[in-house]
Amino acid sequence: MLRYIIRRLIQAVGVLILVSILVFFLVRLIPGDPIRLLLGEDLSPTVEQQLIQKWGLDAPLYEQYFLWMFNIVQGDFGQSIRTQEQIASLIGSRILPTMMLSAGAMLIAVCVGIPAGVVAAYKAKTGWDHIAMFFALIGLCVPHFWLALLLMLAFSLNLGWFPVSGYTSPFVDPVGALRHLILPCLALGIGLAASISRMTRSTMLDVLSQDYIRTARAKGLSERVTVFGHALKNAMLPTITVIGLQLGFLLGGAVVIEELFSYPGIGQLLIFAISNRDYPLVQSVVLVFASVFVMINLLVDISYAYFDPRIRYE
Amino acid sequence: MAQTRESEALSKTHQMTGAEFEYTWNEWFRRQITFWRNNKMALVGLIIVTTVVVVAILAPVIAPHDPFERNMANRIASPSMEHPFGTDSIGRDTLSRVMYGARISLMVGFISVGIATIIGVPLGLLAGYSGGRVDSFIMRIMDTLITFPDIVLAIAILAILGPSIFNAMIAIGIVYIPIFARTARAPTMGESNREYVEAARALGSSVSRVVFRHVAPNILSIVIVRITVSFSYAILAEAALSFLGLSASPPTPTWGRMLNEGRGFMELAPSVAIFPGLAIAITVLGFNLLGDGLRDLFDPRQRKA
Amino acid sequence: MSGPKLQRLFERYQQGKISRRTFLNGAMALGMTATTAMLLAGCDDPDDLDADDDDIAAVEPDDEDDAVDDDDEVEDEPDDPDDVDDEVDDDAMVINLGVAEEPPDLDPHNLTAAAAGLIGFVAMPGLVWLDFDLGLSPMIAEDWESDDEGLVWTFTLRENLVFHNGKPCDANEVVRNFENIMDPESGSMLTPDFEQVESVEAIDDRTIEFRLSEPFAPFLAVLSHRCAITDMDDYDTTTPVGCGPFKIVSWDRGSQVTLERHDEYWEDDLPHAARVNWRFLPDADVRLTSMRAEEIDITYSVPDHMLEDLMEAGDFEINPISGLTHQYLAFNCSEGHFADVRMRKAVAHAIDKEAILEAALWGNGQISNIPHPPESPWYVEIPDYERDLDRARELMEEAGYGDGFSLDMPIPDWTPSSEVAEIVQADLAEIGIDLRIVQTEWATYWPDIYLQSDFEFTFMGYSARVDPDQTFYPRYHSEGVHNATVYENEELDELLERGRVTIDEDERKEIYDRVQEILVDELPWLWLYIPNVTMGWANYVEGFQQHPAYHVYLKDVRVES
Repeated sequence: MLRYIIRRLIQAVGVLILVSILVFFLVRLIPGDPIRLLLGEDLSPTVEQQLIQKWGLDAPLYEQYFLWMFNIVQGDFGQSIRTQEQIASLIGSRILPTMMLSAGAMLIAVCVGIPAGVVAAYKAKTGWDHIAMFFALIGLCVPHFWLALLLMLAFSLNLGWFPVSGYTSPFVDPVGALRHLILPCLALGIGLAASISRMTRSTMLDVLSQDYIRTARAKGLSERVTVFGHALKNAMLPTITVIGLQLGFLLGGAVVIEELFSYPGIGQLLIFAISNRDYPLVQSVVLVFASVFVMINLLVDISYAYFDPRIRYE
Repeated sequence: MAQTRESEALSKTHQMTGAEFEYTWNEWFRRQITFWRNNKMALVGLIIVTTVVVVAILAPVIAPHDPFERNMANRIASPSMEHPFGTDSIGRDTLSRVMYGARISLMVGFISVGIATIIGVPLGLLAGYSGGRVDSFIMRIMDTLITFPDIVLAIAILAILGPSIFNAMIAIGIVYIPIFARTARAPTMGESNREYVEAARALGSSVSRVVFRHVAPNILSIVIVRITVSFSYAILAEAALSFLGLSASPPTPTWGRMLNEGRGFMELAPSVAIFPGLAIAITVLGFNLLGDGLRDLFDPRQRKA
Repeated sequence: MSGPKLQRLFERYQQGKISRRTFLNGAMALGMTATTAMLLAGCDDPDDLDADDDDIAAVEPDDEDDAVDDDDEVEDEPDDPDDVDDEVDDDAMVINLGVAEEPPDLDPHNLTAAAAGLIGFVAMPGLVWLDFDLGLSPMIAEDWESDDEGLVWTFTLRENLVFHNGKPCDANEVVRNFENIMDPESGSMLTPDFEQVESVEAIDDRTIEFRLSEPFAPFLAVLSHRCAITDMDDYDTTTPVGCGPFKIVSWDRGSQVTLERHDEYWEDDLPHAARVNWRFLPDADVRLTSMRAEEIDITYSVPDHMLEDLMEAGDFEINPISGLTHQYLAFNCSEGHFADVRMRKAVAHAIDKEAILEAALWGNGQISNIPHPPESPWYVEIPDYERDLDRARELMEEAGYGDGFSLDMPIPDWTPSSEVAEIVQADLAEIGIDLRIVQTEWATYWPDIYLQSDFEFTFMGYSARVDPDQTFYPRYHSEGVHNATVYENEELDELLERGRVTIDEDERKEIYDRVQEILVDELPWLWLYIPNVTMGWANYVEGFQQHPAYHVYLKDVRVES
């Protein structure tokens, strides 16, 4: 097991190095120029030259890459070209909002998705199943940015229950923070709930058809014990895996939703960085994204290996 | 887009439980006839998809108005007999634009999924069949690609290529390559250890012959399901990209762009933002139902349940 | 009144050197009872005293025995009842302002973003400012003069200028700012504007002298353009200090910048508000909803398509005025189809500006063929091209493109570029030009397409500077840094060079009249329209005035809660 984990860790580091190379050269391939964007209408050749030197953009690319990596390894993400702030603190200030958004969406997804999936599986091929799965399908098919627009239209513009967009820190105003969170969380969470309920249903069905469940039933165990004690427990592993995987992708979905709701999270920061061609900032944000994703993947794989020893010798 | 990974996880479970994908063609036909009769949802999916395809093809004939004709006297109008879906910010007929938009969406689905399939499946076959270094080399690259949230990767690729509908297709195609590679790889690994493949190999067949003659047909069904479902993801992805203004240029009527343009007028004219979104949702629903149906059809395990 | 310190304090207060609150806190620190101090100061609310511990610390508590309540003095200071009420309100008064854009940073000498400039004008005013009538008026300099040739400029600073951090702002401090701005190493965007300045010196505490190598007519205008004065010892790019009426206390990224009253602001009893929440709300719709919910009191702009309804409803004040931004079609004058001026004129005859304005802004602006609205002192009446498709086709024929052609038209990704481009596309289709619109992200469009002149025909916008030299020189001089249309004209070059060294106003006006005639005749750009500035403010907001350049000055604003 330990050897497997070590092997996977080395692989993960390899992937991250590849990501760092890829993102470094990708952002430089994108047409555009951070300095000219920064200067806008006040552009002048002398100032431009000055700033190019200041940010070290005149050095050979490989040198810039190694310098960046050298600093990253020492924990220094450097400075954003556009905002002149420390990237670490920029990212740091965005983590909480994004975490709250992801957690909120996940909470909605789990609280709706798992019960719906269990009921659908247990009552498979009945009206309950059809209704649950119909809504799950709808949830899966509705683009989350459109859902966001509809939610805004209904709850903000027409009913005025929630603010249309923005963010309030929970430390300053917990109620305001919650009001700002609800719509974006719903917009992200509904699709996720759909996805989780389908997953839960299919694994539950799988488990319910297994021999040991039949044995349990044959032994005369009560339905409740059979379903919740045995089946659900065993169906949880793959479901949790999906949840884990989705968490990484929640970050991706958050990009559009955050932009739409003017919500100051990591996703919005990434759009800001890309649209200003703020090279160091794009690189760092993508690396953070990738690390989170790789980490989750790693945990998922390790948990698989733990539960299914065959995989270790793959 | 988070949903994209659902079936990826599914294939992981398959891997664990060792799902089987063997059946004969005869069986397949017989099963299909009874299947469509019994599975109403899949039939609905088929009908939706067919309708969308027909509307897309016949758009120039059945659209009530010219989708590009502006009418400044009738901007952001509410639905009426003349304009059942209302008009947009420069007075164009939304219904006609939605109909023409179907062409773009289907084309995007078709080409981007095509790109992903043509590149991804052979890579997956190769990785799964060869194993060892080749496998880990290919899969590490796929892992790296998949590390980026798909919309972010697509945005980056589009930024490099420049925004256009064609480039959006390429970007989405590239983003989905790893999914097809993984889809093809997992069952291939299973298949390539089977007796008949061993036998073919022992008889001296070349690698490519073994892969394409023996392994590929047996993973065809799972790839077809994947393609159908991916169609819906590709349509969603394109909608997201054109919503962000990264896909087709104006005045091309794409659903995502129409949504974005309607966004600013939501308060006075919600119809501008509602109908294109509805079109996306229904089309995606159609492909999903169809994909689900095909999965049930191909997967014997699901039939038992 | 006894106690020399208290006496001095009171004198300073009477002369207006310190604010009421500073006086109150100081007096109490010196042992005077709160009631007496307040009576002295002319107000009677004990709540007034809990703010600003800094000020208390500024005056060391002295002899406790000096604590005197001298009733005679009190009677000499009759209370003004209105004033009392104001003071009570003022302390709770918060202005919530909704603006569209969040600046990337607030680097005092690099306020490159317009959004940064706006906050800069409030917190870190410069020597002069661009006033509401587009004149140049005293800001932290109360007066100035130049010699006849315009080579020596002498500025006199106001008295009692104090930075937000409590440090006095004297001529030396101001000079240090300009030394930094003029230092090429600083990377300040303002450096090139000061090329003509040879030296800057502090003559005494309040006098600054600039010496120029050659006359530079737009010098005052340059000083008014995001030329912030900050404390060089406390140079900060997130919460910089200045001597404006409000100080920046915090920046909640993605959400708002919070400003608070600067108690040592140079004007008595100003600003009114205690706090400003400068909120970033990118969507006009969102700002509108927030206005209705009274979450914000002033909005940066209202959605054009709702303007009529909103003005009719009268829920809040809206009064569109001409602005300084312009939107135009630009041609590549050195390469491609439009290198021939007849082709540019053909386009001018083919497009329908009224329809474009209607599509782009729902009519909320005015069509124009020069970059100055009639209100501007630089306006000159020049007849525009009539819409005449036959004439347009004739011109195309003459230029050798009678059969028409197709062309890519790159446009930036901000609104209303696609609306405009779509109308232009339809108009030009009528004379046989088949446009393919390519909408490109701003981050690519600006550096790689526009500045590289990688277009034949495009749509763009910009905000004009108040001095025509600053608008025209960089864009039309053959050496100009923004000459993206690659337009070269010797007569124009000569006029532009003369325009910036000519001090006489009438002579300048003649020069720029001629410049605009040439531009309309030669059409490197085809100006379309001038959008209106359309801010909205609640009925309960008093003393707010719209600025043609969208600047937001809040010191006179009162908000009833």
